[in-house]
Amino acid sequence: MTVTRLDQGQRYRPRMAFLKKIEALMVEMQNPDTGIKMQTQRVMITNIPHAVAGNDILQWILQRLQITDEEALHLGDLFVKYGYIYPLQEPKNLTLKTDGSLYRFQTPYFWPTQSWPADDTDYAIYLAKKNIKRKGILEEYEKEHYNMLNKKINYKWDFVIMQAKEQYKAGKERKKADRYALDCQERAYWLVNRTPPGMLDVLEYGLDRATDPNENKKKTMDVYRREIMYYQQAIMKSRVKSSVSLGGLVKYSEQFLSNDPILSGCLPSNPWVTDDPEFWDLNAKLVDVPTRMRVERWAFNFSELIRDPKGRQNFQLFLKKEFSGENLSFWEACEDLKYGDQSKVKEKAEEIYKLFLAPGARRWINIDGTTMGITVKGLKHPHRYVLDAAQTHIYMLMKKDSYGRYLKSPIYKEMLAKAVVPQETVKKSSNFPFGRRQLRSSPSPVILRQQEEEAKAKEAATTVDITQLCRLTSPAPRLPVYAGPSSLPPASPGPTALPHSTACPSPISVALDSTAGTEREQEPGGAIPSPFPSTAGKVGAAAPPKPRAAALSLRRFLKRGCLNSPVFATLSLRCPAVPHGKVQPLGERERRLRQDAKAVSSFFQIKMDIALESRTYPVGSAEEEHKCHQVCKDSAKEVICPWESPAEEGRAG
Amino acid sequence: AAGEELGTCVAAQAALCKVAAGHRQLVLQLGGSADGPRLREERRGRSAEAALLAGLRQAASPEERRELERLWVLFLSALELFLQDLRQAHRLCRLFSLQGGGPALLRTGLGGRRGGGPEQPPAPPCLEEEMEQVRAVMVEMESTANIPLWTVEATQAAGPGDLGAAPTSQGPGPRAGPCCRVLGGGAGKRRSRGQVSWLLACLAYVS
Repeated sequence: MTVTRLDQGQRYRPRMAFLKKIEALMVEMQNPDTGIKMQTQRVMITNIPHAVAGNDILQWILQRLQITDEEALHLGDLFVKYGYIYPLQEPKNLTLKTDGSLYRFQTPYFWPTQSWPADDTDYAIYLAKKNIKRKGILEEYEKEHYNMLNKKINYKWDFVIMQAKEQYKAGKERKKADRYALDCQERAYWLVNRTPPGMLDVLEYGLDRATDPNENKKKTMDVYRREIMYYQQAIMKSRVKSSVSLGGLVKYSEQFLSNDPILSGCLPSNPWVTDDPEFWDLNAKLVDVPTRMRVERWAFNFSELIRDPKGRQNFQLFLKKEFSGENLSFWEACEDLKYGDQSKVKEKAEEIYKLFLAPGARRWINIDGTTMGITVKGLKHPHRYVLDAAQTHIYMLMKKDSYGRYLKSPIYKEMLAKAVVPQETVKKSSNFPFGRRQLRSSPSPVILRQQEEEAKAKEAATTVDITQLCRLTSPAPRLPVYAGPSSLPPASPGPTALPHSTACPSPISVALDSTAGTEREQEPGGAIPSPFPSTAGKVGAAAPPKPRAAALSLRRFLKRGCLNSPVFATLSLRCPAVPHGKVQPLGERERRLRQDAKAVSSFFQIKMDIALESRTYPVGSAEEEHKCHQVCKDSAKEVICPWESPAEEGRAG
Repeated sequence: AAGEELGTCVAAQAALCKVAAGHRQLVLQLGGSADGPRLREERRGRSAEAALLAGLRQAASPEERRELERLWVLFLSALELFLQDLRQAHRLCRLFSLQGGGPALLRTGLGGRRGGGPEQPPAPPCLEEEMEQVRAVMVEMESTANIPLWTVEATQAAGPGDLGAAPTSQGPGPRAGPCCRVLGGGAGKRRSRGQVSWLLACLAYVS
């Protein structure tokens, strides 16, 4: 049995149209009237019929095809090279000699076929047979093949030997002339299909193809439809003038010339030349102090920055200052989804959704409604590229927006100043080539990867972007608008309660107390005066003891971010103990609130059209109340992915 | 009894090998100067025989596992080779159809056949059916028994007068060593179409 290679869709040999054409000519040559005249070959005492002279072949081709001498000779030569005719006197010399040298026609069994190549097993059997016939007769290259095959198909080697013996025996039963002819045929076949070193392998054709050229596809509607689609897409492909693309290449080469280690040398020295791996150490993935060349390279274009792990790290620092660190994190998560372990695609996609895309997610990224819609729809059937649209959007956002500012930022400038320019070291004289060199091995990739993952996890755990709190109402997406908690002194949360919340503990106050000390980072210098200063003012009464559930509920509430002060004021909070079960119909007041909220968001031109319609989107406080109660009941409730429980949550974003 | 079973498996494997070799030699001559209706008849007979050998199966007792696995692999290899030759025969018979205006046969230097085929062919199925049959057997064999190839080692050295490379390790059991050489004698007698127990026996054991 043959082990079939991994099928990557390329298993068809290309169309070899010339084969059929040669075959037709071969058959014509047999014609007793118009074909080539035959001679008899004399081998010692045996006479073997059906030999043809080289010159006769040439003449026949000339006459039949009406071509020039040169072409005919070339064509005849090809016939021999492809194995349709084989020489008798000089078997290894596969050329057409236009004298009386004798040739014979190869049996059709040994004709080259387009459908399958010459088999390794067959070759092994042939070599074994040859070896059985006479020990030591194999040529050097044949011996190499033989040993290699022995290792390669060792599991069927017994079969190979057995079959070789049987074939040899079967051959012996024939009469001598036939046996001789059969041997010649087989030898010629293998000279063509396993060329000896130094000979041109005419049957080499490059890579296997993905489509079967022999497939006779019936032209059904479906086939035509697919053809049309294919051609339409081909037409739509963008094309670039060669002058433009060449110009781009030139520009690229000029820009990167100084960075090329071969063309411009590398500092401190080329490790392959001097055996000094300092260059690699200095340019390690996440080295503390990168080299100057590397940092300068980040300024060439955005893709240079983002493909360098150190560059990403530095950029992330900058983004954190700008409160858009989640963008880069999201991008990295998408890369991991694309190139990481595909067995975990579903889990990864869900994680990403929960962390970045869900309404109210901890690190929510700002993408437009259409993209969000596409993404969520695609997440029903997650695969490698399901987040491509969102990732591209975020990539372009970073590129067009943050990148420019990054290059002008103090963070980048600092890195540039810190960057080291290594001294060029002189090539160590290798007077003592056999000396013991201090070869220290680089850290194992496994360990490196572990370190990376630890760093990533640490970073993920400590990062909470405060801007997530007030997505809806922030005019500038990246600046924290909700200055409520941040403006409160962390030490003493201060009595904060709504004016009319006496019966139940005000969840707001509760939250403000408890959350002041929670994981929220107090971002210095980023807060702008809250557009709703009344909010801060209003919340300021004494806080009664608060149940934990209420605190959580308010935190949820705040995260949803609806801090419309008028809404706030008219909020009438029900006791958490109120049982809920159904979603309450919108009352009068709620409807009004809802409209207010709508006005707010349209004022800030937030494109959350889909979201507004959905009941899960906490635009109105009314829903929020319900949410509070829901949350109270089940405080451990996580963000629900919309495709998991459509009935309960409705369609999100 | 177990040893007998194994022996018959081995014999069947050798018989298939022999028939495949003979069949191949006939296919080699298709389209050439030795081609003719008689050659094709004979080829059909051989292939029917081989197909029959492949089709018979009987249960064998679960013993000598490694040896059985080895034989299984060898049998599959033989079937594969046989299928390949069948494909060639199919192609060549189509190309050089003997009736009517088929292309002239190649003058390859081979003479007429030696007289008389050794076996009487039964009602011969047509080529496509044969190929399908063999293919089906192979698929069944491959899918039901899960024998990793790397566990099978050659018992033979690289060949008579091995060529400088280290020969493969010796086989698993004492029985395995001379098995191939013994076959030469036994195979001829065993090739009766009667109860030839067969390697699919492995399947019953292995699965």
